[in-house]
Amino acid sequence: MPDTQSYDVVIVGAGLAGSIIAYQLGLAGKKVLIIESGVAVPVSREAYMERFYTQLAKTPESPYPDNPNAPRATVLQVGGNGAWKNPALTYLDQSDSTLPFSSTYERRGGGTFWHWLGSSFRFLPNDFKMATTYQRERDWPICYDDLGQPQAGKTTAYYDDAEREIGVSANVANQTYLGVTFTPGYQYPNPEIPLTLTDEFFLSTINGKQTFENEPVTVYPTPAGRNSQPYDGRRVCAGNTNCIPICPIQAKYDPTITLNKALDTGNVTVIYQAVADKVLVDAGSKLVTGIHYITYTSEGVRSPSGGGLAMGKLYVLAAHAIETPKLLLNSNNLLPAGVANSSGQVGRNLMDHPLFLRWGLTQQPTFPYRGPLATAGIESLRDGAFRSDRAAFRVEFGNEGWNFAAFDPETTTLDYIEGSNNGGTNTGGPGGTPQKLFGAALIARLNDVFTRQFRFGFLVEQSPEDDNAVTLSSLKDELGIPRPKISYNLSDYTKRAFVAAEALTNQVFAAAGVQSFSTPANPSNPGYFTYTDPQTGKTSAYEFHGSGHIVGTCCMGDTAADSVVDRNQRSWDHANLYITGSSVFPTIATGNPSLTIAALAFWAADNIKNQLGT
Amino acid sequence: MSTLTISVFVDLSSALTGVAASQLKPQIDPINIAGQYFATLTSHVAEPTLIKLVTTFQAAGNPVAGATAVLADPVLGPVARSIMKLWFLGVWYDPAKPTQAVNVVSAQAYKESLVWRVMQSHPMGYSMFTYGYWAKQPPALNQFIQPA
Repeated sequence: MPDTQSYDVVIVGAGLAGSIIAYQLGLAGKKVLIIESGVAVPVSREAYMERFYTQLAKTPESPYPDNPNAPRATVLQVGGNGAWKNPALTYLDQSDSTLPFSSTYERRGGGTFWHWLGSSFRFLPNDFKMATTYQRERDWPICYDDLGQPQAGKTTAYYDDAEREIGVSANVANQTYLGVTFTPGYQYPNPEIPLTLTDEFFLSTINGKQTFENEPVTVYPTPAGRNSQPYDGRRVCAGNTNCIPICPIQAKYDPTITLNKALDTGNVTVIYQAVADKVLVDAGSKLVTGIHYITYTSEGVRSPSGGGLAMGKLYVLAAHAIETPKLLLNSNNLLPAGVANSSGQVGRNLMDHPLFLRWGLTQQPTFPYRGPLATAGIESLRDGAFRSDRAAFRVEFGNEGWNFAAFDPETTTLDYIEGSNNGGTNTGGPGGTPQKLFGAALIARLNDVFTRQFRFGFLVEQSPEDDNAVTLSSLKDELGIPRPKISYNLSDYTKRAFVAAEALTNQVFAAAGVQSFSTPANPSNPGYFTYTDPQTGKTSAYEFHGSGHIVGTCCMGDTAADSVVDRNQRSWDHANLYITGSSVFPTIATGNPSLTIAALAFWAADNIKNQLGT
Repeated sequence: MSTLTISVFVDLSSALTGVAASQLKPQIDPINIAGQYFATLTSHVAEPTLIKLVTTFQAAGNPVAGATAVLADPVLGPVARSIMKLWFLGVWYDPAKPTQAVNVVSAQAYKESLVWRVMQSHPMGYSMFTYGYWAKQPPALNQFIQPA
C-alpha cells in the first residue's frame, strides 16, 4: 500500500475537478495521490449498460450499482411516497427539512459526471456580481474575465481550457450573448451539434418574435460536451438520447477520460474504495497533516477492511458539495466546528437548479426521442433587470418527449392498452372517455402521440441561503461515518421565478399553438410548494425536481469571515488545503455548473503548482 | 383441447399488437424475443388459462375477431394485455395487477420493444442511427413496423 508514502498533493475524489487537477499536476511532474470512495472505473461500460437496460425505472443512478460502503441518495429513494423524509429509506437525512433536496450524485471513479447531461455553459458576467448589479445574493470574489479571458502569463482562458478538455461542440457566434466574451480568435474545439426537429419547431414559431418582461425570447443552440466529430480518441455522438444516465459509446465526455490521462503521466496514483472520513490538522500551524480513510473490499456488501493515512504537502477536497462539507464537519477532533470552518459557512448555501417541467403536444410531428437529450433552449432570460425582483432561469428543450416529465413511453402505452388516462391524451372515446385499443388502431394512436411530445425544463437559479445546509446527522453509514443531514427550502426570490416560468410557458405555448399536458401540482408529491403573491394575495402551487446540480456549501469569498475559501480556492484557515468543484460556487446562476467546475479546477491546478514551486 | 404453442402465441401477439407475425418472429430468428416472451407468459399463467386463450382466439374465425374475443373475456383480457405490454415495452406486468411492472424481461427485450419503433425512433441508449440523424425527418412508420 502506498499510504505511508508522502505525495506532493493528495486529492479526495476522482471526479471532474479531481481528475483535471491530478492531470495538470501530473503533467507538471508533481506526485499526486487520489483517494476515491467508490470503485474503480470499469474497463468496459457493458455491465453498466446491461444494468441500465434491465432496470424498470431508468433513473440517473439506474446503471450504477448500490454500494453500502460509499452510499448515496438515489432519485428513487428521494422520489418515493414520503420516503425523502424518512432516513431509514434514504441516505440523506432530510427528516427536518422543509422541502426535499432531490438531486443525487455518484460515488465512484469518474464521479457524478457519469450521468451529466453534457450542457457546457459559461456563466454570464452578471452571474459573478449579483449583489453589485441587482442587490441580490452575493458577489463572487472573481469576475467573468478571470475565467473567460486569459489571465496574465496565459494565452488561454480557463473556460477555454475546460472546453478543450471536455471537447465542447459549439459555435462562438451563437454563444456570444448577455455579455459573454471569448479570447480573441477563439473557436470551440468542435463544431456545433445540429438542432433537433423540436428545436427547429420552436425556433420557427417563437424565436425573436416575442419579449417577456421586456427581454427578448431567443433560442440558442446548447454548447455540448459531446463529440460532433472524432475528438480526443472518442466516437462521434450517435444520438442515443441517453446522455443521462449513461452514454453507451462515450461520445459524451466524462472525467474517466481525464483520469486516464492523469494516470498516463506516470505521476498519479489512485486508491479506490478508500472513504475519507477525517482531515487531520496540526494544532499549532493549522496545516493539514493527512487525510484518514477507511477501506473496504467489495462494492456489493458492507466490507470494511482497514484504513490508512494519505499524506502530502498540499491537499485538495474535490468530493462534491455534500460529501466535501460532510468530511470537513466530521473532522472535528481538534476543531469542534470542523476543518476550514472558522467562518461557520461550511455546509451552508446548499443550492440546486430547482427544475420546473412543462410539457405538451405539438400540432404536427416533431419526432422526439431522437438526438442528444437537449440541444437548444431559451437562454436570453438568464439575465435581466428582473433579477432585482426574482430569480432567473434558462429554458432547456428536452428531446426525450415525456420520458422525464410523465414516465413515458410507459404511461401513454399503458393508457391505450388499459383504457386509463394518466398521461392526459387518452380522451378519444365517447364523451371524452379513454379508449382501449389494440392492433393497427393502437399503433396509429401511439405513433400520433409519441411523435408530437415535447417538454421544457426551467432551470431556476436558487438563491444562496444560510439555512439551506449540510450538517452531520446523528445517523451513521455502514462504515460508521455520520451521514449528511440536509435542511432545504426555496426562498421567495426563487419561488417567484416559478410564477414567471408559468407565465412564459403560457405565452410560448399559445404562440406555438401547442397543447399543454402538464399536470397540476400534486400536494402528495415531494417537490410540491405554494407561493402567495404579497400584492395580489393570489396563491399558486408548483412542483419542482432536482437538476443534479449540487452547488454551494464551501463558498469562495473576499474575506475569511464570510467564506470558506479565497479566490484561489484555498482555505482561509489552512494554508495547504484547497477545496474545489461546485462546492465553492457562491451562487448557482442559471447555467449548468459543469463547465465552471472544470474551469475552476484548471485555475486551482495553477494555484497549487504556484504554491508548490518548482 | 390444445395447449398454447409458440406459433399460436405469435399469431395472437400479431393480432393484439398490429405487427406482422413475420416481424415478431421471423422464420430464422437468432434474437428469439418471441421465445423469451412465450417462456415468460407460460411461466406466469396457469395451463388451463393458456388453453382457454387458444380456444377462444381460434374459435373466432379470424385473428382480429379472435383478439377482440380474448380482450373481452374477464380472465383472458388481462392476460392478453400483459402480452401486449411484453411486446410494446419488453416488461412483464402481472395480469392481476395490470399497472404494476414486474420486471424487464431482458436487455434484449428492452432493445426490441415495439414502442421505440412505433415512435419512429430507437431504444433510449441503443441508437441504430448515425450522427446528425435527428436533424432530419425519420423514415416512415412502415419502415419500422410491418403491419399485421
